[in-house]
Amino acid sequence: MASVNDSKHSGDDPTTECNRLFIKSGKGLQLRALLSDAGLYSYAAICALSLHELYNYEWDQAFNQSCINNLLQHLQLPKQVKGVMISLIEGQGNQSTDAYVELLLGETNLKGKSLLVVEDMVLLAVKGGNYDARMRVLIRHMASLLRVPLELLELYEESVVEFLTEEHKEPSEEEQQELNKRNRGRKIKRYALIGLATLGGGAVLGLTGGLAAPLIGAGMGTILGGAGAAGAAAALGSTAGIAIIGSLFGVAGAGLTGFKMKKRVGEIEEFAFGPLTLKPQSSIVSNNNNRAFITQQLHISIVISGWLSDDADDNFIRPWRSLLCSREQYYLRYESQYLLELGKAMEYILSFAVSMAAQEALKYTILSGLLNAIMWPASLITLASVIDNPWGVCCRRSAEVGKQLAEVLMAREQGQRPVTLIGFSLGARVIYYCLREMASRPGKCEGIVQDAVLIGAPVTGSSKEWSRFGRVVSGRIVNGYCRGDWLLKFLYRTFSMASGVAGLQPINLKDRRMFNYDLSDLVSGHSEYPEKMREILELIGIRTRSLDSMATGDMAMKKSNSDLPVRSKVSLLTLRRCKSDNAVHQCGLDEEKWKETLAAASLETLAISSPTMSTSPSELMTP
Amino acid sequence: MDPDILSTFKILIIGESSVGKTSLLLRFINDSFDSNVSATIGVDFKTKKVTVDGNTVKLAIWDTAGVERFRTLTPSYYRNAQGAIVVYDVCRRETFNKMQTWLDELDTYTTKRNIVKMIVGNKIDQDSRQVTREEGIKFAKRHAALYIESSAKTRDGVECAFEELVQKIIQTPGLWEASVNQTGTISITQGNDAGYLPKSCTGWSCSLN
Repeated sequence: MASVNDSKHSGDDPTTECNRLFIKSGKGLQLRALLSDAGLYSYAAICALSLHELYNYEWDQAFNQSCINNLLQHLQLPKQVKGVMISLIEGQGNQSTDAYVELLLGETNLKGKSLLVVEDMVLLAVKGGNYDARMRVLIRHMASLLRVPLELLELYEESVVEFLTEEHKEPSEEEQQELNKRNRGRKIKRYALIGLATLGGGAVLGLTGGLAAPLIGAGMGTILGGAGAAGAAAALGSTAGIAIIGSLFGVAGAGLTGFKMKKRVGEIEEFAFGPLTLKPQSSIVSNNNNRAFITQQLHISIVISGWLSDDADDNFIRPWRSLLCSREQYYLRYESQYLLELGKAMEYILSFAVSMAAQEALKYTILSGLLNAIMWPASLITLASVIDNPWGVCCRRSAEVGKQLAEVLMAREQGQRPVTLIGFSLGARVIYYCLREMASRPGKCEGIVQDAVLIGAPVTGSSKEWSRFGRVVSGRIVNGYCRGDWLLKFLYRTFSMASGVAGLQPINLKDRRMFNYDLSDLVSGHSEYPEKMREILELIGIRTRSLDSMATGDMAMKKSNSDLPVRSKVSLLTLRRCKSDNAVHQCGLDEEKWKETLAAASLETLAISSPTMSTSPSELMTP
Repeated sequence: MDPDILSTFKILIIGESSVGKTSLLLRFINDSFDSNVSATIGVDFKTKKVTVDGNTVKLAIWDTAGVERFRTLTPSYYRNAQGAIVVYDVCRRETFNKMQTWLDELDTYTTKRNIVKMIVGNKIDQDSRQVTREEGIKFAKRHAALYIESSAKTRDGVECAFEELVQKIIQTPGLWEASVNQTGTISITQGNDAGYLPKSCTGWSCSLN
């Protein structure tokens, strides 16, 4: 009995449509033409092996199948290859990717420019109009296998967005029809979800209103270099491609900041998103050239604070100023009244218990075995009532907020693109309950959250509970804990939690996603999380803004250039350059050269940039 | 796992390009023949359950591409293979001359030292034979390999080649006990290896479930 795996054909997705366009345009398949069949085979095999490594749960298999099907279709590999790929996904033959990577890098036509392969993957991922978080994690994994720096990958993602949003053109008749068709169905949904107050959302899509949004990709010239990018022009600038953009960037492009809480979950009083990347008071509205002040990206981050220490305007975002996880970042504003109360209570209790931290640090380092049950000083106990009440209230509310956040994410208010969630203290609790809520909705929750970072989380440390998140989170689940967090211990003194508190201990979960970080050396207690956020983020491996770019006050100005003043310029320049001589595409950029490029680029930037400039690549190129 | 299945054997098919590796496989799996089989891309993977001497085993057959540009990939498939079918074309002497290279490569990359090798001279239905049966047998003997001549077109010797290979693998205990180990479902103490008879295997497979 021969049992060859054959899987169902998924023929009804927009990808097939796009494929047709790919072929029609005749230039979309350049990577395919560039590689030999051995190279294409290796490309697919690397993808299959990565899928095996990353997504090995039963519920992942449907995604794995459709992913490999799309890729094989895209690469036009013969049918028999599918059987092998599926066996590789299943982990048969326990292969390593090394041989494939070597072969692919050794392809004569590719000349080691493995970036092209990664670019091809990004386009493949995006052209269905849904950038799945699993897909992004897969691409990042493949990029590291192919020795493509993740920065370059991110730059390419940016370029794809630039390319999608840069030019506007009168819609052709065909496009107009497509647009009308789309709008009929969409209007109702859009009004229902967010209403018209989308201006706060920024972005071309938001500013032009939902109507024009689907048109942005239409009739685009080729901006980007490289074979893959030419493919983008062919695939994404077409009628079918138009659909992609609206879908990627959320309902009519309004995105998160346009989100209005229509339906309240529980007793939540405040729940709103704000852009993290600029100071609220800086003047934005003057920007009339349709340039977004929050650029639309293929990946967004949402940060959630745990308490507020004052009621200043920037109280929610202050701890996160150094964060640069993605270029499009939001913060969640929730229940500020209660969080403020909690912050005050914390301050109060801290002022009475300064020495506690030191004592506690001593205990866990020297006597950790002896002191299981901690004797709390009587003076502290008398203060307990000050904090216990606000803490209890905030705990309850943050759980509710988490459920609301889950609703928002699953409704795809943020668009069909991956989200990274980062939070400390009660913010981490929000994330925990968000993931928990999502995990209880199989079939709807997958492929939305890329990474989840929980720092000092006041939630259970039970690995059983956490294991459910494997379904929701595609990339990393990070638990940052501090063994000497006496405040957290104190707050949990009356609970007898056998599994412990996540913010105090590592989660014992065997999953490639789970990462535990001991922050005991960085922070001495709960209250230090906000001020030490930069160090914590760096330890966890999340990109942060450089110190000097933080110091140079006006963020809004930088915003209009980019968040990454130097790097993004390089992106544009180098991407341009690669068109002529493909310099950056060489894999394994040597360090020195890269630095030189950076330096040169930043000089050029200085020379050209003006505060309000909207940096289109073409502008940059003209000397 | 199916309780009747003794174990899963990993079989490789290697050899120069267009000697008929894929045709052999298709004949064995589907009992079909197509004279215009296109060159294999990378590798082809098929499974089949066979019963030899009352023992049912599952074969996972990896049919590799003979074309030069896939050559660097092939070694990665050698890992943990219990049997290898090395094919040449009796009507093309150059494919026979390359056999040494293939066997060397097999020895270099295989992870099991006592892997069972089967040398197959294919396409005996054709008239222009260049390599005689005696030459083939002599070569196989020298390398302690099984030998068979076959024709995927006329079905001659195909079934036989796989069956003999399986038989030999079953009779080589050190080979496939390891495969039981690797499934991770059971761990076997080392001492048992010696004097282990194939017949008693059914008892083992029960404990697998």
